[in-house]
Amino acid sequence: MNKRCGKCIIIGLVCLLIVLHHDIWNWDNKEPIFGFMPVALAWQAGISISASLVWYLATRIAWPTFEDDEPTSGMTSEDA
Amino acid sequence: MTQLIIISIYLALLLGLGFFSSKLFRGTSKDYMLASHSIGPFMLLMSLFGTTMTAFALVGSTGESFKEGAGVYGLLASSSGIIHSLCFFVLGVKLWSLGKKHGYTTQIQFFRDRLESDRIGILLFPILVGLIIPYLLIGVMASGTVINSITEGAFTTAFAEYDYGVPPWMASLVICLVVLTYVFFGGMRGTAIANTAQTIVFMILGLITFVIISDKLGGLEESTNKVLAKNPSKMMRSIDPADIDSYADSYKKWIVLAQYEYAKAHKGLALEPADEKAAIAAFPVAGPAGYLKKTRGPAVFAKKTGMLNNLSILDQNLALLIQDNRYEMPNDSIVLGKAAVDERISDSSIMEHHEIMTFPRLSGSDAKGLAIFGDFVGNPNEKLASGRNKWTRKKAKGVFRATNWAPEPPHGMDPWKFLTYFFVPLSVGMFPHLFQHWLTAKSADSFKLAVVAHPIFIMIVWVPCVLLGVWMTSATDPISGAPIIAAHFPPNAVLPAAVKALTGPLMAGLLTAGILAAIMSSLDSQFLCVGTMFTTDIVSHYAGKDRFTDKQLITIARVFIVLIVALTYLFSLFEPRRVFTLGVWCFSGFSSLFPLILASLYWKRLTKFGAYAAILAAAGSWIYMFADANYAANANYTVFGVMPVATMITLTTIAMIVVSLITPLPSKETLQKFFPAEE
Repeated sequence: MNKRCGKCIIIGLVCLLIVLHHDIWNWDNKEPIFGFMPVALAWQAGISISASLVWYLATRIAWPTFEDDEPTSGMTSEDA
Repeated sequence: MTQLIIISIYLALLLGLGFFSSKLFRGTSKDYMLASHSIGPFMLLMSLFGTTMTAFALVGSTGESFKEGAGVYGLLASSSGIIHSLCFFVLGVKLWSLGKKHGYTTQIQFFRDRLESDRIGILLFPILVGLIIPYLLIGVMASGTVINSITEGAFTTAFAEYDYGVPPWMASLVICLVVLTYVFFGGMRGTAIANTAQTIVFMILGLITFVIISDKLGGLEESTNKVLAKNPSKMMRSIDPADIDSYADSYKKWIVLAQYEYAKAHKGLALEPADEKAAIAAFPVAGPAGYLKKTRGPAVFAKKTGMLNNLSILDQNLALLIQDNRYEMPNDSIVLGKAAVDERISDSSIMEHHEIMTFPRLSGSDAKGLAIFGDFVGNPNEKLASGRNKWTRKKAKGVFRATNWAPEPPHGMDPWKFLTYFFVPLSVGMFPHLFQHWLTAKSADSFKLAVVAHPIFIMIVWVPCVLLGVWMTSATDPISGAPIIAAHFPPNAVLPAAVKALTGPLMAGLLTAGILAAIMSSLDSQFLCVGTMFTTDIVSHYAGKDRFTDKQLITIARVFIVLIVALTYLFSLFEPRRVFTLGVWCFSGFSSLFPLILASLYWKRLTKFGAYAAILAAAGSWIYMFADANYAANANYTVFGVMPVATMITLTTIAMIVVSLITPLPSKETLQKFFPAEE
């Protein structure tokens, strides 16, 4: 998959997340999920998890490259 | 006292960390400001996250969900998960690359170069520093509130007017000094290390807080069931019919109280002692120290026996406003009648509650509370004759508000307001301290972990805070059955009050250290950033690069930081605003400049005149709307029903595009420098 195609997929997924974030269908729902979590909160927590997955995909298929980039793997000495 | 000792130990440890990081300091201004571009993925994630999650995330989110319900997470947390990472990805990585290539340290250096305009710095510098001050204010204010609330009763005789705890002004001052010290010693490297350590501390302690408090409240399901029973609207974003009924009933009863108190004070109404005694005995609810019986019992009696029937419409409206502490009867009203009172007060129709609420609350109500409940107030570790602990001054003020002010009308979340809140997290793209953090990265790949993990980290911090805020609307003391947090409680104090009420002194101390960690992990970056901007964009830029040595530049940066912190500290001594509201205004200002940073990276046609127009439109619209919202005092301010930030961004974008299209392009050299592949 080329990077342009990857970027288009990520743009599409981010737009989808933005639409799903505006969960008007949950506005009147007060029933808790798992017995304690308000739907308004549970749905939006799901959006946070989905966002993380989309951004993971972005690092795999749409990450930019730079001439002077030094690839890193894991922690550096400063992280320790 | 245990809490105070733990907080002191934590602050001492932090100072030790500052001294340790000073050993790693390489002595150059580049190392002081950018840690020599050496920060790897894990520390970049922790410092970016620690910097963006401040008092706003912990104290603000809990207080706001206490007021507005579970929908608060969707307003800013989930949208931030999408937008913050988007900014790291779309702006951060590219700016890091340009910064490393061309030697930028600050945003203004980049804009000067990209827009071929020296004066853009003169325009931007005061705006960016001016917007950082309210951001700093959030942390400084919240640290004072938190430490004061949690240390109530720590002293036996000192600081009685601060409930025998550390005064907020002193607590804020200590926090400022601690952060200043470790920033001074460690620079950016010290800040990144402290941020990482503090982010770990506040995430772990935050989760422990949540587990302990939910257990004390009877478990997850029990806590939520109480909300469903008492305040169902807090579980959703619209209004539950049960809340409307409950509010209508409470408001009706409150009107009777207001009319009775007014008739007593201004119309000479006085019950016969025997009637008053019987009325008090007959009133069914036992309120705080019998106060509800004493006030509401006679009011119900007066209403039932027709004693309030002769109040005119003007009297009835005045009664409501005075009871809600929104109006005081003018001295000459007896002589002048209607002519003496505010012309907005109707004498032809009873004012609705929303009309009453357009009058801002007057100061002085707290003094009334202290006067009424003065006999109960004292050191909270001492006992009253009844065997219960003495009240704090905060409790006396809170009980007065809860028993005298009108009940709050239930309100949902407007879908348009919710939608346009999405613009607020765009502020991350223009935070000068985040720009500086981006440039510390060792490589572009260092950003990957931050981009992916940021939304999950936000969730880990915000979900417990929002749940806690929602639960506190309905949580009651298992023994007395009284609400743990009363109505009209100051939102900024909900989290520390809950922690204090539901955990022991040891845990309360540790959890407070966690809250302070979140606050300080943002303050440090902001302190460092203002110093960097001043030395780089003003001092070095105008005096010449070689005019000062590295050591002198670091000293100049430190002096400027102290001046800004002193200014912020002075502001914090004035009347506090809701942390969440103040935060949203500050973020809105940065967000309004987002189109500029985006266009400067991705739109060749952007010109310096377009940039000037954008900055002026952003600053002008922000100042106008901030003043129109009574300087953040009006927490529900909107423009055309949407968040002000939406209007600001629209105006900025239009001004930038229109002016750029009619003014000359930047030079070919500049375009080649910033858009090499497309030239």
